[in-house]
Amino acid sequence: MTLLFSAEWLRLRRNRSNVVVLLVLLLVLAAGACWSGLAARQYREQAASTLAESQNEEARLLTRAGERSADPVKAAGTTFELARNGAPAAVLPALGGLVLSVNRFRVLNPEIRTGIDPRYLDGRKADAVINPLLEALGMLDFATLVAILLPLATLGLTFGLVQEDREQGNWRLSCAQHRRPWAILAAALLLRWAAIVGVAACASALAFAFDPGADPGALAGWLLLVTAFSAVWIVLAGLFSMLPVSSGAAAVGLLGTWLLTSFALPSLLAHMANQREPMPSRLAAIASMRAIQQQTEVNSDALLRAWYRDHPVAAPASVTVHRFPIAMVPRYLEQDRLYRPLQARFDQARSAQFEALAGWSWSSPGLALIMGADMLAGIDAPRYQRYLQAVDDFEDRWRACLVPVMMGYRQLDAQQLARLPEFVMPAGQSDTIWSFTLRRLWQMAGLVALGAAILCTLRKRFAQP
Amino acid sequence: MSAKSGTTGTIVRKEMLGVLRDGRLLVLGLVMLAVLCAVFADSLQQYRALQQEKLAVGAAVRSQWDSQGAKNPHRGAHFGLYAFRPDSPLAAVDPGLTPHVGQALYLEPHRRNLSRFSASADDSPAARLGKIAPAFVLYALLPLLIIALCYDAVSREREQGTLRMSFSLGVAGPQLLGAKLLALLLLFAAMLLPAAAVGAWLMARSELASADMWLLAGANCVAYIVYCCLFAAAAITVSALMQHSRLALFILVGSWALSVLVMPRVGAAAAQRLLPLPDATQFWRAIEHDIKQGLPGDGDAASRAKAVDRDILQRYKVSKIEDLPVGANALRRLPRDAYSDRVHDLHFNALGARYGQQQRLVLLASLLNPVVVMRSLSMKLAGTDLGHQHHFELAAEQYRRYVNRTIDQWDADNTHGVTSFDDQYADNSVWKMIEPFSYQPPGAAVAIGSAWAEILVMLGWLGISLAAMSLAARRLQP
Repeated sequence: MTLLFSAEWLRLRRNRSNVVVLLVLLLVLAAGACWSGLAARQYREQAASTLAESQNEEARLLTRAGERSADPVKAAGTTFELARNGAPAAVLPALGGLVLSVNRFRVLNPEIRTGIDPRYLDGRKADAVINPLLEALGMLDFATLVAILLPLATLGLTFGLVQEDREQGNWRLSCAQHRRPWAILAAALLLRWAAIVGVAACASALAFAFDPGADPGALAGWLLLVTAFSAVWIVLAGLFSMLPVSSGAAAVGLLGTWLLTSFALPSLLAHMANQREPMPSRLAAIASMRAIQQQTEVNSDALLRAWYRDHPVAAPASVTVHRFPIAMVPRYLEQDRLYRPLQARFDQARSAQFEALAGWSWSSPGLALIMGADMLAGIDAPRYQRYLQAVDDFEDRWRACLVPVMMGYRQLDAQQLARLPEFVMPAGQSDTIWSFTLRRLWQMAGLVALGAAILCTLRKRFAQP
Repeated sequence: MSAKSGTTGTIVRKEMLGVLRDGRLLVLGLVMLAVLCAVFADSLQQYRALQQEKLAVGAAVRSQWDSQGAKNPHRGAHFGLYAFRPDSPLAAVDPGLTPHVGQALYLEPHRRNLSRFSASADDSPAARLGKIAPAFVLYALLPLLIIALCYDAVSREREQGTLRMSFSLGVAGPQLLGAKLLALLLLFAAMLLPAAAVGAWLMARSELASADMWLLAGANCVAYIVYCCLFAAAAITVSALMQHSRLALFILVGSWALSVLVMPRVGAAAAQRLLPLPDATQFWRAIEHDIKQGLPGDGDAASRAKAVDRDILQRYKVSKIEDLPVGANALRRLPRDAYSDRVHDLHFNALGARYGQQQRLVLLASLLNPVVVMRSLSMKLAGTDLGHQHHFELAAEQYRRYVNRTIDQWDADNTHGVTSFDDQYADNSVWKMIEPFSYQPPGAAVAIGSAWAEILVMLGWLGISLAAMSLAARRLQP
């Protein structure tokens, strides 16, 4: 067996096209790794700087809020200013595998600014500035690059392993010299698998090395996924080697399978997920939000009266006529109460679609790999939904501290200022990530086992010269 | 001369017969045709649904605006309007940037916004592997089909020894390769013609179909013919240069993967890194800062407001704002908003310029890559590129200014002195006085004119690939 492996290793090494394929793969993946690693580093620095800036702004407003004013209108204005602009930015913390899907963090805003007025209407608080052209061209996410290129490299390395030898008459010699010709193919496939995984592992380690927030657990999870993903394609290449067709036809067939599983099936699955969990219309939501805006504006006075009726303790003694901004606050609160379920439908649909896709992802190993990468990076749809819920929760706590004081035309005292809430993203998701990763691994391992079983059952076909 | 053309005709016929008998064209061509028709029908259906929804929501938003009831006019203006961009039916062929730009633009007083609610933000992870649109089939999968059919066009003849036989019959390399190219192009044309006919028939049923649209569709067809031609020539060249079909397929599939899947991403990543955009917080904060602190030499907001008050008092010859015969708030707002518009223009123009620089860098990086050039050309012809989006956003911005100026002017004309924002003195007649937003996209001449760089690069690539094929043909050895 050792002799077989060393012979196959020699065959792999001495074939110039194999070396070129591996070198190109290494070069492209290393370039992608450097870019993703640097982008991840930049993202972490930028997130930290945004947080620091918003904390500075909060500190400035806290200092101002600490300056007492005898005029109740001024006092209310100061508290309103703190409530509106003083909340620290709610930043979604990236996980250890950020390098794998760093661009998703640019598309889904991970830095939301909360306050007293509804953030859903204001793109400045919720949207990222992004060049749509670059987004359309596709970003150099490391996980996507691996999902696209590894199967192509497998195709390049396994081209004509049996068929071309048959065409050239070499397979006849192999069959004559070896008792189990299938073992020759098995050794060739295993060596190629090791070579591909080795290249992917080196590039992955490089990417993770650039990111100061990367963690070894995420790298280990990613490498397991890549190993399984690569195994699926190696087994597929083995199955195509078995077909009684020319080497060119087998290569075109494997290429077709790659197109089908990497592009057509994910598109089809996304379509099916959207049929099952339809994404609501953003345009229709605009009309609904405007209806809410109009309704609350018309009922503005009634909402103000209702607020003071429900909070008699907070009502000011000295002010009877309420004007902007205090008069607007109950309206803002009511708007948000009505907007939130509308907005939540989008996040729920995105999350449900992710779950549906995860269930079907066994049919597209590339999709399974990308979804696993999203989980390791911490930008998967369910986590983003939890983040938005945490933002809502933080916003509620922030308002609960400030609104009664503001509506009472008062300022926060030193104790209240010291106890202002901070945004905290609920922790403890590592078991979810691992169970998700393991499920994807089982899916891919199942495919590998099925392919290997077919190969084993039909192994005698390789004995035909 | 006639003997030569007769031989060429014979080779073309032989080549076409060979490809048809091979079965690859029939299987792959039929699959491609079916995929193209299915994807186009689906895309067109999505396009129609989106346009209908835009019309319906646009009408609803306008009706909400018209029936706001009694309000302070400035508060009414703050209720705002939304602008929705109508897409050309060609967007069904190439959605281009449509899924990545916001679907609606909020128009409100004091500030200019970016389009919001891009469809791509709601996409599932599957979209990152590529969204299947008709343009994707044409720019990405069609070259792969060409490769699958052409990779062994010459190398197989060499392997089977028929190339030597052709040479012994006096067929020259250029004649042979030229005939092969012609035969393959005729077959591609025969394969794609039904798809083009189905597409034209479906698009003709669109309400937005116009002479401009047909002109642009025609230009797009010509561009794709050039694209196919250059890929076919390149594939035949590689096949002629390589000793083995295997190596030719290797090189062609590798080049395809790099040019379709890797290089566009590398170009985008390079543009993002070398020409970074400001982060959203920085961008909006800079605008806010310039409005508050003023542009160099303009003074801060408070001093500008004082100057405005002085000017108003002087113009109306009164000593107190309260004594003005016109509405003071609106009169103050007009110059303040004009200043804000100036600041917004500066920052939005800088952002637009940076988008443009990034686009040029991507295009420059793609000088080596006809796929990116074709994508860019196709987007420009379909009206789904950055230029068309910018044109729409500028039109919407002009309309936003018109709405706010009109309402402020009405406010100034119909009140006097200082009024409270809680006073409700405007009614539906004021809202209805605002003309609806009507957007006219740029015509075909503008779209084609903006794509001259891409057209030149494509023609350059065609020239290079034909020259390479000619060189390979002259050096062809059996």
